[in-house]
Amino acid sequence: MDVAVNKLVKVNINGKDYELLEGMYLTEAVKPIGIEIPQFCAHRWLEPLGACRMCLVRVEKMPKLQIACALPVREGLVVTTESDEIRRAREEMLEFHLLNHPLECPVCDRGGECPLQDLTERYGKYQSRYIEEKLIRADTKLNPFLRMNYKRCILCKRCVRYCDEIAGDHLIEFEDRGGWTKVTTFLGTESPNRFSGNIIELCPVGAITSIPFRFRGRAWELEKTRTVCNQCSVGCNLELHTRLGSLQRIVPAVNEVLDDGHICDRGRFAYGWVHSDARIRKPSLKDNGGFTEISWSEAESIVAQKIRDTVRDYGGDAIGIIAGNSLTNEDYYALRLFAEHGVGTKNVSFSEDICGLSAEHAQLVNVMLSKVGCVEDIMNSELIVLIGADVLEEAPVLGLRVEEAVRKRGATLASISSYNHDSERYANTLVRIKPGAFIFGESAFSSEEFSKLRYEFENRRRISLIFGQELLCGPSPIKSIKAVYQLAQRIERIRQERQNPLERLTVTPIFRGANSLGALILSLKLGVPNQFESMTNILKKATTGEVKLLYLVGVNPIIEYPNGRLAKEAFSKAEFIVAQDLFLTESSALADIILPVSPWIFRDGTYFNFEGRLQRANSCPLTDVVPSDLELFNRLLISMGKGSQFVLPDELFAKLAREADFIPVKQLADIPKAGILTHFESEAHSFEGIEAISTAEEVCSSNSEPLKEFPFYLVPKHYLFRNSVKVRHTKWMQEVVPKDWAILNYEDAQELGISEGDEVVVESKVGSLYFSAKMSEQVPRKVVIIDRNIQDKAINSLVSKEDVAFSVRIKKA
Amino acid sequence: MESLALHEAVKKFVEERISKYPTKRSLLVPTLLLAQEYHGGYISPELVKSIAKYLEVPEQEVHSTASFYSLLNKHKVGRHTIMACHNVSCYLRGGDSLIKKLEEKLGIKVGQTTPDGRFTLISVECIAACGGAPAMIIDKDYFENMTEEKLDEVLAKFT
Amino acid sequence: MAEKLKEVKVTTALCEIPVAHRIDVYEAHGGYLALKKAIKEMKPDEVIEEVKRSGLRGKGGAGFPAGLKWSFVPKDYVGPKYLACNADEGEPGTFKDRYLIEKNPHQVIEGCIIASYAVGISHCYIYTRGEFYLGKERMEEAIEDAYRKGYLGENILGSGYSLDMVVHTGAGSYECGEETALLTSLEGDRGHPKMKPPFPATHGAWGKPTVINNVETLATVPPIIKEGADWHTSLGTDKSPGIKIVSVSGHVERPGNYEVEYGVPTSSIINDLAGGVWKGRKLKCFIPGGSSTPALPAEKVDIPYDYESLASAGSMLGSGALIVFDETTDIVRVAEIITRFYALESCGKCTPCREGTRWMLQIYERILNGAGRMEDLDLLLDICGGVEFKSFCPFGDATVGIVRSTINLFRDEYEDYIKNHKVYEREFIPVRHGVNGRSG
Ligand SMILES: Cc1cc2nc3c(=O)[nH]c(=O)nc-3n(C[C@H](O)[C@H](O)[C@H](O)COP(=O)(O)O)c2cc1C
Ligand code: SF4
Ligand code: FES
Repeated sequence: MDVAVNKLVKVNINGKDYELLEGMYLTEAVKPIGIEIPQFCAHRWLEPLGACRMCLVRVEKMPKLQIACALPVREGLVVTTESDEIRRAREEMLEFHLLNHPLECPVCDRGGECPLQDLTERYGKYQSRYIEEKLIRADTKLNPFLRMNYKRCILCKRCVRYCDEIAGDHLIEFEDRGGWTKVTTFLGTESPNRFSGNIIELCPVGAITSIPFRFRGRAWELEKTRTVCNQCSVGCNLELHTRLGSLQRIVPAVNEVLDDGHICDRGRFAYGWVHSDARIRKPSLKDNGGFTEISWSEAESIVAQKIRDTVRDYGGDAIGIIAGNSLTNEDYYALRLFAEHGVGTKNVSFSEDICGLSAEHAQLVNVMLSKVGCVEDIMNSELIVLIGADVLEEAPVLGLRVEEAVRKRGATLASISSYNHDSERYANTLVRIKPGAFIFGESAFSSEEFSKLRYEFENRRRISLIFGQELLCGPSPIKSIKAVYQLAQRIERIRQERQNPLERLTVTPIFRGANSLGALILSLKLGVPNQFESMTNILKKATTGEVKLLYLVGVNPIIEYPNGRLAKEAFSKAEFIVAQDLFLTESSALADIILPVSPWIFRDGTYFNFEGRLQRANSCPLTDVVPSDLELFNRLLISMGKGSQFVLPDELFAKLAREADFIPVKQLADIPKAGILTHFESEAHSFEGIEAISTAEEVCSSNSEPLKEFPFYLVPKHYLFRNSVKVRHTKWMQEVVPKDWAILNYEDAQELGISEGDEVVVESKVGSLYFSAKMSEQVPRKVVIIDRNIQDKAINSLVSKEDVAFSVRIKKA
Repeated sequence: MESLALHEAVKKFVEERISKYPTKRSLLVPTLLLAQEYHGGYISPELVKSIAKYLEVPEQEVHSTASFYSLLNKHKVGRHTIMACHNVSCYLRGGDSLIKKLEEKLGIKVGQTTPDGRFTLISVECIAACGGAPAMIIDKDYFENMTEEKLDEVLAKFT
Repeated sequence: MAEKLKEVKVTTALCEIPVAHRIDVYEAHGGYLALKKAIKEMKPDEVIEEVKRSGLRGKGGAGFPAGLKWSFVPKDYVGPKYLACNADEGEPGTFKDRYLIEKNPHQVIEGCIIASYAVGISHCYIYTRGEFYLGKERMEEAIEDAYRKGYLGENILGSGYSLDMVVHTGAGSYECGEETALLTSLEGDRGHPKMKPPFPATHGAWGKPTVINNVETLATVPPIIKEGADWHTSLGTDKSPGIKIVSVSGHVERPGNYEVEYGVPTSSIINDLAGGVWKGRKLKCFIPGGSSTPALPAEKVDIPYDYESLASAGSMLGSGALIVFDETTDIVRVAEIITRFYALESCGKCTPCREGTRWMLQIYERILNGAGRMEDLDLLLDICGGVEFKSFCPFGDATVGIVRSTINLFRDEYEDYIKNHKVYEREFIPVRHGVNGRSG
């Protein structure tokens, strides 16, 4: 438990006086003063257990040896951690630990980084006196990623405690008792778990090892590169382990102020695609339906020629450039230069996450950036409100830190959502709204539903609002975002009126991209705002012929853009489409030419995570046959006769930093390991400038009934293990990808005569798709939840942009 | 795998006592012991699932707790269970030969069930009947000061 | 000829009466008068003082003064406080708790109510072993009667004090007799002991202050309240005042429960009460306080039966289970039986006890199969050194008693097995954990 660790008290260890933090457990407290007390079952994340007895020490006036892992530092504590008696105790304990242990270090993946190996070498005896028959039990699989080797297990229970106390999913428990105890999943039913990979490092021996990494390299053979994960907006710090020219595994790199060493299973295991054959490695030109590979020089000249012709015939603005949300800041900056100087077009969009966001929303973006909270803000707040945000699925490690704040720092968790999602498991205040009706103004605030929440708003000193994908993927995201900021404004106003001012109020969006914030900053904050256009407008201009050439950079509108029909129409009307991507996706398949680019592990650059923390990504010591985005832009500029504008990310970062005063460091190399928070508050934009949500708008959205013949609300769900292109091309991820479910309420299913697993048709006024039915208590009446990323079943084909609510009907196929 | 419906007696047992405990989970161990009697004499996976649902405890934890206690059988057992004590006080007064006799009479080894499913014979640790050693329990009844002669008469009571 | 030792029946007095478990019979013999006296005439603190003055010591094994334990519970604590009556009785050789709850349940209940009243407890749980079906039935009937008579429930005897009581069965685990493992089991989990500190008196069941007392300890409380602390200190010795039920078993003519004053010579318990060593044989050695207490040689049989004397003789009184061995006993086989018991009942939480007991069992099995080595004896003693005082809970310390004492007292018998590769003829092969069919 978190003890108020503040006072320094005098203690005597091995005859010398020290000053240590009061209340801290001795095993942790002595680390900074260079004393090592061996431990297996204790860990800073976990409550002390006292099972392995490695940390036995002699405490003055105590008859028996005491375990240091549960001994809080107190004034006048006298402890001996090095003596014959203690040395012998550690030898005895290690002999017991190694009783059943097989001598298979040569074939154990943990070799070279195994605490048991290290401690035995340091404290153990040379020979074990055990000649009896060792307990042998066959290895098993704990889940698709983890292999369990019982012979090596020393039953320190770290894995079980991690799953119960922190990850919150009951993946594994102890079975049987005494010497025959073992770790099992019940019936092999692997409940969905998002952080199971962390128990690989947590296990102090080689009992739990990664299946994808099995026998792929010894710890000392791997080159280690510290970088930042690019699979969600949290930006956990990772270490890429490479060998023989390929990425072998990903492990956490521990950034205390952000991820504290936890990473999710997607960030850890979804890397198989980097070396998959499905990646495009040569430029490909469309000819009668298929693609033929062409040389780089040929491809560059075709694209350059196409751009020059289009500009000559129709002007620069006839070229629409749409960029995804996971490029580095340097790629974005290069793309901006390419668009401004190379092409001279204003039809450029970096806003994949909020596709309606354009230059006119610059003020909203400023407010958004100035109110963003960092992890410390969120964990320090007394009230955390999730507004349409299933953080465990959308930003898993942030979800973990929020739950840590609730468990250990007594924060209150509230959630406003249309259905009960996993991130609500610690919430004690739940507000249910109609799907998509995140537009709450005055009437909602004073409604009965909000009463419990109102009390919290009026009394808590530090509040964090977090809004996420359920809101952003709803029918009217921009209005909903405005509603959130108005809610924040209303809270501030009430607190001023009652002379009970807030200490801290932050509003933090959870976007899908690794650099969504960077994209917004480089387009609608830093750049000349009217140089940018919304993704929606560009697609519309393509349908009207205003935009002739579409240039896609790492984006997949055909399935990602909310209105599938508009995207398809735009693609069909455009005269020429260039796609810069890693894979053949639904969108790049419709392009006229595909220019392959390298994955993020080969790039140096920077990202802004959801906190606005600038973090550096380093490329691992491998070479890739394809260029990075910014290299490609530069080569195109050269082919278009504009000359080389930039070569290295460092140059681009320097330019960016000069332009942005809120970035405190001016050189790429100066960015500290844990990244650096950018503070936009200096341009103290309070909330004005966001026009109030009219009560009319609020009324029409909150009681927007779905149409008679389409009685169900469709809620698009952004899953952690969604079958996106990267997961699709990682073979060991296939078992965790959500099936093609349409999740219904039990009574609704009964009324429609649908049982679990039946094939159902989900129909809207613009399209229909087949799914398999699944029931859950989490889903309220008249709501159906469907994954946004199901291959060949993109639900954006059911949705049209003007819908006030996504309404569908369901019937058995 | 469908989770089976809990027997009424088990539900009544829980409902009667729930008000006397601060958490519903506290009733897990006695409920498992009672439920075993009504559901085939052992803790089947289906039983674990339905108790987990009824007491609102995760399935893994019900299975883990059930696997800890030796009275909760992990496999199918006969209609009656003979628990003969093999601990020190019973050994001192001929407990081992009593068990050997039982094995011969029933034609099975310790830990097995008679082919007709009538008896399961297990040897157990001290059952707090050392004054009446050698002792054994059949289902719910204690039989103390057992002799090989008395065996037939005692076994006859359990069909 | 010194006159024969006689029993001093305090908790077992009513056990002889066949229907003493019925409330009317119990009341007819003065039952619940102590409760009325405590609730009506004494304040809770006075009850604690009286029990403290009586010097009553815990009879579950540790011999910790009951009054002192009660006084550790914070008086001003706002919130529920619990009493766990420990009727798990798993210590080999002990059979007094089952005897008490089957034959004299009301005296146990009355003791629980008085203790609960003294400490301000709202809920009392009688934690009985899963096997004690008759004991559970008798206890549940008695509790129902007590509720009906107003001794339990709301506003007991109009005093404004309320107490709820329920029988809670375990399901087969000796370790659940340990006070904190019992609480974990009571909370619906595996019987693993809790970290101490914090101690149960402040953070027990469900994190709330909890008192754990043995059945016999609680059954002794009503007589102390009725007869007064001075009556109790007049019995037994000054350091071990009062009486103790000694469960005599093994090679005696009349094994059974005999309630005597502390300090009486162990030999007189065996000879006067239990009819002496059976079949006219000579005494080889005896275990004074149950399987976790070191065996003592025949020469020490006259030792006074109290905590201090037994401790000075190198053993312990423990739960008062006197196991007697005659000269024909195969002491190495006895040590194997008790070591197997500890290997199978270890909860498995901490490494030294879990691995140490299973290792010692394997060594014993090898010795008894004629494949012992001379260095096995010192190895066994070394393992004991690694398990005792280094395990998580006192279970670890309990496992070494029999191994050390039998090796020190009868090393020759061990060496006989080893030198002559003697093989013990097993009459059956035990199987672990009931009916799993898996051994070892
Ligand atoms: C391994 C172990 C097993 C125990 N078993 C029992 C038991 O079965 N019954 C019991 O009353 N106390 C048992 N105890 C003692 C309890 O921990 C506790 O001290 C006692 O029940 C408290 O009651 P008392 O103070 O009245 O003796 C055991 C202790 C240990 C370490
Ligand atoms: S000593 Fe350790 S393994 Fe043995 S019962 Fe106690 S906690 Fe469990
Ligand atoms: S680290 Fe202290 S007992 Fe395991």
